[in-house]
Amino acid sequence: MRGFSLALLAALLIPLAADAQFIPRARSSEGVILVSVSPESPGPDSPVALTAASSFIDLSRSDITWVADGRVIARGLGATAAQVRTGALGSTVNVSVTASSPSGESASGLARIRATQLDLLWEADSYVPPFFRGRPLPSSGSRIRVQALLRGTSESPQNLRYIWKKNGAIVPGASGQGRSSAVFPAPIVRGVDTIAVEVLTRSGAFEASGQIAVRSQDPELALYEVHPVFGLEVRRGLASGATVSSEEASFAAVPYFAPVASRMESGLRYSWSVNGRRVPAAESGNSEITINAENSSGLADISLLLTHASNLLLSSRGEWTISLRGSASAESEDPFRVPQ
Amino acid sequence: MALHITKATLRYTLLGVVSAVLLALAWWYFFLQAKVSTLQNTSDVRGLSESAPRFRAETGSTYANLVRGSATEAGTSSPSERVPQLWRVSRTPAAGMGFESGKLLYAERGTGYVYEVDVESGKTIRLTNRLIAKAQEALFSGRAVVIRAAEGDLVSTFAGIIPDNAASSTARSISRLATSSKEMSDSLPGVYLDEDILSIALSPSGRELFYVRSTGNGSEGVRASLNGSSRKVVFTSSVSAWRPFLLADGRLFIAQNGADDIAGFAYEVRGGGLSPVVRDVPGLSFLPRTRSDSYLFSESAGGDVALRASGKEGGARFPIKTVAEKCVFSPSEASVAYCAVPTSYVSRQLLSDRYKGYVRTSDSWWKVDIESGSVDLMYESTVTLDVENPVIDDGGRRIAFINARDGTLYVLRLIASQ
Repeated sequence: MRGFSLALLAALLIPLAADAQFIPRARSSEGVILVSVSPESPGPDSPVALTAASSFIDLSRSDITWVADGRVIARGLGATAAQVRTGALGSTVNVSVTASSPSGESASGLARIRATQLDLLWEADSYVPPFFRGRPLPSSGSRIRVQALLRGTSESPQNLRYIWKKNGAIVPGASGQGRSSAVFPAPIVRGVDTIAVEVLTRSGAFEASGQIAVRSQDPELALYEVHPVFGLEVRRGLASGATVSSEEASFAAVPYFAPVASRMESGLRYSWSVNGRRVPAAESGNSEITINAENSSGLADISLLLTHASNLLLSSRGEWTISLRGSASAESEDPFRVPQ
Repeated sequence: MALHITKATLRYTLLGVVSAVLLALAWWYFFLQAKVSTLQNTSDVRGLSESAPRFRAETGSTYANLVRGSATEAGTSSPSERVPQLWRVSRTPAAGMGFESGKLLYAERGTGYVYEVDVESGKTIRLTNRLIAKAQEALFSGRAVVIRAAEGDLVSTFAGIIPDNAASSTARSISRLATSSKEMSDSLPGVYLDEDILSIALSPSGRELFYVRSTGNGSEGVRASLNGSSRKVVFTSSVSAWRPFLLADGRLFIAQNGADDIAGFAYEVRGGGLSPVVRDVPGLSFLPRTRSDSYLFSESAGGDVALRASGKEGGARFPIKTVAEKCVFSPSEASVAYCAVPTSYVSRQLLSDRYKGYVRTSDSWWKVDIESGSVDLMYESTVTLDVENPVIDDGGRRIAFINARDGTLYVLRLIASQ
């Protein structure tokens, strides 16, 4: 009867040891003491907290001994916690814990802690103009590329197994051997997704894990002057109230982080209005507009609605009030204009 | 009788039709003549019938604009006064610059023309006649130059070497007012590189390139000769927004483009892999130093900016707030760097807002000792400067940079005690 009970208990405990959902993740399920490691993926020369848990033996009343690489690191009655420090990158610390209860029962557990470094690099494939020094960020409809760089393992990346998860759910299509990179759709409409990866050896031993939180944002419309010689003046983002020292000027809208490859992509729809009137876009492309302020006050209330023919989630609006001042009425800063 | 009447009727009818047609043609002719005359008058008023004016100056208006306001006009004698400590070199935006044998070379933004500036006398001469329209970025190492231009979203990258006789041949071709395409090419011989280059670095020797190119689903880093030959892929990655560095000691570094509050990484590229240098720093900006393990990096998170140096415990933090890309290492003092530091911050997302041109900073120059952590105010400018792409000469005497406010080029002379 007792043997049957033990077998039943073991059968119940083994899947619990492998499943991180119900108990803190353990490195090993050997024996009937489960050892939890925090952090799960410690780096080199880092402190690691160890916690023992058991359903078989009352650890709070047991004499517990912790040993790391043959050296006792903690000992005492109810000593369910201990700490160890990892070594150099790639080194391993083998930890064992034994417990003896007053009633004579004993139990043990093992953990293998490898010092690794897991970098999760990511970016979106959204639009940014040439020479933009920042990083493309995700918006609805774009995709996120993630790359896992693991150091401290003796296995090559092609031999490791990568289990990718999105918001806790395994993504089978992205996971597998050698799958150190993955592509995910960006969160929709300002949402946040958690992307995680677990790296295992070919034999299934845990090596490292990591996760990132990725937030989507709305595409951001920026307005720049298009200079006939210098091109897009990305150093001067035009805010409302800006002044342009010419009577006629061309402007371009740059949809930062829009889920497109180019601001001139045919699916994008730029709907321009100036002082309340719809105007046609310049011949140079829908993303550009030319305004002539001759015989007018020189104030242009520009508004733009950006949509996409097939991506209904893409909708951004921008509004700017720009003052166009002819060279006769204002000091010109443009050296290519002949001062009068 | 009836037949006779019919023939007569037919004859007169025919005559009438022919007359009407002739009248109509005559009217049409005179109508068109009147229109042509009107158009001609209009053209004359607009001056279209005038022959094109000839340039009578030895140099074009672009060149004249450049030297106007600088210390001296080209071809004239040097002024009696030295150029000021902070000197605005050009009135037109510059794409990039570099020091070579005591001179400053820079490329004009928009045209790609290369100029040579004597930083002592202020004398400026134009070296090249090769038009690279919409030039946006230029890298210089000695006489080697890489100029990148953008037409819409299409980027071109040109790599060339400025011949030693470039100044005189360019001046001759300009004075003849007839520049052939061959002469333009000869003034700056070179080649256009791959079209999908995202970012590029030029070695201080001027002989090598290290660039990141798009592969469609990521990027690869390529090391190549200046003319694009001898290509070797040194790394591949699923991400593509990298900034490459190719140092004088031959080491390669890459750093992720910065994004406020988002973790970034910097690596040394070696042995076909990536060795981490800086890990998991939000809003990362990175600056390595040649022949040294030292480096500067900065983080931008939570509306705050912090400059750090290599070292234990994540790097010592300096009491000044700036980004590493506004700094240059002194070539002569191992532990010294010069950094442009904004006097105030108006944005909680400094990197993002600066890169998009929404905000511009107002900088002062500081001297930073990365070993001791001490900082000293070196130069407080009366001109509002947002320092971009600073470069320092080999002697550590001058720093050239672009003022991001208007794209113009400045040179700051470092005082001996600094």
